[in-house]
Amino acid sequence: MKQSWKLGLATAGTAVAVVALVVSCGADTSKYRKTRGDTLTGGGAAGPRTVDLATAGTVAGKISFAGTPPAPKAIKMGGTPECAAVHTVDVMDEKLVVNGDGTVKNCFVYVSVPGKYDPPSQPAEIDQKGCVYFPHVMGLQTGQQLNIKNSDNFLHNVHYIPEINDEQNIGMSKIGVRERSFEFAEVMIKFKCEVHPWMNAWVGVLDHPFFAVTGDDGSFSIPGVPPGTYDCVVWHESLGEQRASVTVATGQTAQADFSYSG
Amino acid sequence: MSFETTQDVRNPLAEAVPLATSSRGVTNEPRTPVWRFRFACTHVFFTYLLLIAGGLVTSLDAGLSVPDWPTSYGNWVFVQWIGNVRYEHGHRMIASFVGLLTIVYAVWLWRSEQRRWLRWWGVGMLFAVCVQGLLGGLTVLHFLPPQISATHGTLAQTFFCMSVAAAYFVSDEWRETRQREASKKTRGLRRACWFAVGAVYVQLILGAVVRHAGAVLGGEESPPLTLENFFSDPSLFVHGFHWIGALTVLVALSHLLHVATWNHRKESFILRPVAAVFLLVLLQIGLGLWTVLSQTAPRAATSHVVIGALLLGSLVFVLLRSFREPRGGTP
Repeated sequence: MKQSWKLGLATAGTAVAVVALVVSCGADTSKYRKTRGDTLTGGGAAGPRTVDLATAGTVAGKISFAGTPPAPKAIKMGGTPECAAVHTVDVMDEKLVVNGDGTVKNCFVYVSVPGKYDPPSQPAEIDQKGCVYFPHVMGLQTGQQLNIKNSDNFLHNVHYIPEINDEQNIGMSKIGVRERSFEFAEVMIKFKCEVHPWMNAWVGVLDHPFFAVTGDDGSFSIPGVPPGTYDCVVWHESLGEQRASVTVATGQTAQADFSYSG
Repeated sequence: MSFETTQDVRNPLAEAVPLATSSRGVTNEPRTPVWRFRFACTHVFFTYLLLIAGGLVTSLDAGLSVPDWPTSYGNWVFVQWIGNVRYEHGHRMIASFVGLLTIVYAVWLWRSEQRRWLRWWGVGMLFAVCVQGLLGGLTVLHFLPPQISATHGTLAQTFFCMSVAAAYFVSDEWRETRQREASKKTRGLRRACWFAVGAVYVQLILGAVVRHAGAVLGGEESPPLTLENFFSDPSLFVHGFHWIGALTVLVALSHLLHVATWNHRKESFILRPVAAVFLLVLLQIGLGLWTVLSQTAPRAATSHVVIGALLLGSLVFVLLRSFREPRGGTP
């Protein structure tokens, strides 16, 4: 009893800390991630491919919402004057936006076309403006440059949390742009700002360009899809994922409509 | 400074048997320098403040609002004081100050303290605060992995207890009182104290895991609490253990209160702090319920953490007191 007292609390905490240090320093963080690879298209042809418009078709559709949509919520920026000062009207939370015609905004839709396609030379862009990400949901291709902009002349951190690609947390203390790209296909990657915790966005990364995001009319159109039968997948931040089989023929438009219920 | 004593410097619980005592059992040794005790209390205060700041950082999800370490956005002190940066950078600033206080404290003890074990206690605190700072940095650089964050949270509580104990060791009460005789009643009291300290400590570790592994109930992403989910979902399983831990702590504290009221009812020296700690446990259980019902509201969760730390620190104080004879002797 007497000797154990000597060690007591002093060793308890430090021993735990040392063990944790050893564990954490030796930990291979990749083991917590999904296996890297093309899990979204089921694999496919070797080498980059390009879109062949002469033989391609289109997948189009609309995402609707059945039931009574929840009332939009205003983001509380009162505690952060630098953000509140930018806006004259309330900024609404974009977690679930049901348009006036009962369609759903901010759905990420893609077709599971196999193979890897050349990324476009035009960079994709996500902007931090008035303490809000623009756009809230977007897509880009693997290897395509992503410009992460800060249009606010104050500090944000850009923390994106993939499970397959590398996680990063970037400090942007003034107006500027950072360039990044993703190596592996992954749907979806969450972007967040811990300085302003309501700020978040979702980015879908695919090996091909066959994706779209629904807007104010809840519709989407994905052109240039090679003929064949594929899964058409729709992802929404709070409503979840749905998929349907579509058959694309040359010069034709395959219709794929989805409906979420409240 | 130095002064003569007959204390056994190897055993902290037997060191303060004085050469000569007054009729009231109070030692005639020179008193502890009052400034060192005040400094020790200051250390306890800022360490507790640091715990509150750390609790707020986790509750408000501010841990990664500053991506770099050891600097903050490339600066050591001055950053844009906005949003959650206030909490994370504030936490770092208080932590740096506590680190500085601990260095001063350890050097002070090393240079002026006669009790060898207490000199090493200061060194232990210095080591703990360094490891704690390193853990804080690692968890930021590794995007808050639960095992590092939970260890950071647990070591914070441990360090607070070390600070409380150090303050008691340099207090007049510790130096002016004798070791309590090892009677059957005393052994029973100490056993109850150890049991309570152990139960609360394990409970705090579980709480840290719940908090940092995202195993909170009532949040938007948490699964519904059903029996099937309880055994299949790790987060609910951990949470279940935290509930069982709460029950164990209640039993341990009830036992301690029973021992104190039954065997030491005439000793306010023991009875009062035990009663206060028991009230703290009831408050802590209430705060735990509030945390769940409020879906982990920052105020509720942070209060739950800081009262948990206060509970553990108070229990360590009671445990240490159980080794001392009251100034006027045991009634």
